[in-house]
Amino acid sequence: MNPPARVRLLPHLVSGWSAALILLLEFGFFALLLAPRDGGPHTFANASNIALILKYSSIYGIAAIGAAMIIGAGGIDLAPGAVIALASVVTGDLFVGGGWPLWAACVAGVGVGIGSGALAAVLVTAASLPPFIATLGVMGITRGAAFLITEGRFYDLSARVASGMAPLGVALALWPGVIMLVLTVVFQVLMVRTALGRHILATGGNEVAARYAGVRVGRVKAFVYMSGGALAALSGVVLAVVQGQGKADVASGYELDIIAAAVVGGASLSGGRASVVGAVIGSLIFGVLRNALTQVPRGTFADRLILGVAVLVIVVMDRLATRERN
Amino acid sequence: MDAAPRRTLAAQPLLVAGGISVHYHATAALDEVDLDVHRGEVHAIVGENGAGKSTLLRSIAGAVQLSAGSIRVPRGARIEWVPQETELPPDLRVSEWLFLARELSGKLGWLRQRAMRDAATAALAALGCTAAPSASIRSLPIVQRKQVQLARALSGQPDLLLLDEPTAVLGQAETEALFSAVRAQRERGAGILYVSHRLDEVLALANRVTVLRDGCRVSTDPIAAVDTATLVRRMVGRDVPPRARGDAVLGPTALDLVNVAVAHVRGVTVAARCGEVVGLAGLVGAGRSEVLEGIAGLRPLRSGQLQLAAAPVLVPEDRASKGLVRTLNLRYNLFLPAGGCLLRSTRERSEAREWIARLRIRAPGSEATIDSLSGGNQQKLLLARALRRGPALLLLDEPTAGVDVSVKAEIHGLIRQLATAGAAIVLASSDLPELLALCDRILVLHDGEVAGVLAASEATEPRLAALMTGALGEAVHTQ
Repeated sequence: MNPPARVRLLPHLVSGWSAALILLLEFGFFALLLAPRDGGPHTFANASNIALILKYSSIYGIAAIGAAMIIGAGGIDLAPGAVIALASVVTGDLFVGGGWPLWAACVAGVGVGIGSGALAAVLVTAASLPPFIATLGVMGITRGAAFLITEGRFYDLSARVASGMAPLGVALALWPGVIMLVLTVVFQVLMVRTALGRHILATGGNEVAARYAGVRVGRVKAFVYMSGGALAALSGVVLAVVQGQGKADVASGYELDIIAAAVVGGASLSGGRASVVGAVIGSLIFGVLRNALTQVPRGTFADRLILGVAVLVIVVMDRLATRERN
Repeated sequence: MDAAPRRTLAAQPLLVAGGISVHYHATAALDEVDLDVHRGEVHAIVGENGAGKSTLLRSIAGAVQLSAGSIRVPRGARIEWVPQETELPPDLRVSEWLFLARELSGKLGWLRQRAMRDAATAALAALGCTAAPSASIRSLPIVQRKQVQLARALSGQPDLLLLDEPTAVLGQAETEALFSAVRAQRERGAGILYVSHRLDEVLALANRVTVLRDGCRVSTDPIAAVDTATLVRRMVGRDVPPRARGDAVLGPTALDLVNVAVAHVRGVTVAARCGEVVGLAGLVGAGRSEVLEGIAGLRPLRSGQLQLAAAPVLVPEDRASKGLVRTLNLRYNLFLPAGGCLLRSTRERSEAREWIARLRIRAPGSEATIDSLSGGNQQKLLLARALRRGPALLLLDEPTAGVDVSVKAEIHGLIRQLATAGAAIVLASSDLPELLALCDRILVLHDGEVAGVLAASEATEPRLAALMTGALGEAVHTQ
């Protein structure tokens, strides 16, 4: 391969790398800032805190994988927060109230997410609604369904899940991070190495041209919205089982954090550009920030402000870097 | 303005355009065109697609920047321009649009709604339009939208009126009404520039006629000095290149259309055999692309029968919107749709390099961005994408639009090679020499109907142009 071609390949990858670089710098910064002065144990940079960051970030990260694919296909999804809540409630209701085995309740929770994704897909493809409107409706429907099911109750799964539970020899608290990392690899391979992944980016880049070239655009959209729904629901199931919460009002506003994670990870809201790895790293960037700010005096009050500024700074930096290369 | 200065001005032209040129990137849409329009005359502009007619009106209206030359009109002269296609604000009411930015208001600044409604009704009635002034533009059919647009221009009491294909969507009665309204403007002392591809209209309405070809002015004559045949000859004007295709060896039928209707096109019956190139000729809007998209399954057929012996592969017109995905690189665009389970990028890269070499695509490599390719090379990439699939039935829509002469010759060579190798090809083009050089048969569309089918031996540019413009009244069929 000749050198100019190699240079032009970079923009496709660099977003992912720059997000990874930001994550490393951020982690180093807080490790220094929060370093203990008296030589005691580090309260931030230690294994159990990193496990904690992974556990909480995975709720965003798993759903952000779906968001990256949807945004890459030129769409947007406002429903994940509500789908997380509905899935947590359905899993909790079937497990605690219905007496289902845990695995079956989890599968049902994910199934609800696939259903809500299918509804979004039908609205976007068959009814040609703008994705913003279609998923706004789905958001209302799923959140409303969660409230109808619980009628104000909430399901405490933690009492019913055996405390020492360690499926496959991995402690329950580590499972969210493991699930996120495995799914990251699976969907990154799908996006980069399969025809479907390429068709997703082609659809987002120029839907008409993709259709004329023979891409089945409707199927591509159905896939991204349904897998987006399934991934968000999986986040909800994880939330219910690992954190013990099945509540209708969990994860409210998460949809915007999830979109922000995908965008920080290199997704372009005008479509055609997105990275699964980048989206997961984006959610880790936010996870580290939230975790560290709890140890900074008055930090928890400032975290929304700092998150907002961070999104803008990272995206503007990425824009400038991309423009320079072009 | 009082009457005295107008009379003294009457001797000199209302509009004088001297040596105007308009360049889009490297191509000249208008090349040193001289033109004048007098008060009280209809000056018609005719020419083929892409001759520069619309660009000329746009430059006089001030909608494009002149690259050279000057346009002079008297200070304070009112100019009204009716472009060929405009998006009217769909949520305004008809009377609101007619008086937009020239609303009638009373002493206290209140809008005089009743007066505007009455004036709107009168302006529309003058064009034979029955749309209610209170109707929203969204609710109007396309014909009435055009009439509303024309009514706004005519009611503005223009000194200079620029009309671009005003009758393209109008029926017979509406056209007649427009003609009398245009004549009334002429009596009033307005100067009118009238662009049309309908030569019969031009001969009926105009005082003078200017022929444009490839951005240059060919001639300007009083209407009495020309006839349809002269105009068509001047519009087309080029020497017909020698026929490059010999006797094709024809195989079985690859494509068979019987009485097909798609979009606004109806009654298309045509067959293509393997090894044959069938041409589709017609003006903009005649329905060429619609027929190809119907064959390719991108548009539903309204009626008729379509039989395909092979999967059709379409190379669409309009590279930017229907062809390439700019956010993806050359290789990704070449392998679209991608096939197989896991993609082998190493193999793709080497195959992409083979195509780059075979079609002589000038690109920095298989990973080049689309924006780094010139228009001609983007077109070659689109062709490579189609050829990669080894199509037995290839549909080409304006395959040489906007490419330079040498690339055009290369693409023509490719088309011949493919046909010789046994592919059936349907070629839609507004380039008549191209159709004549490549096709075995040419189907001519006019206003959504088949105006005729000419065999290669009988097709000539004047004959095609006459069928395309509807100057030949009856459909011609030869085999």
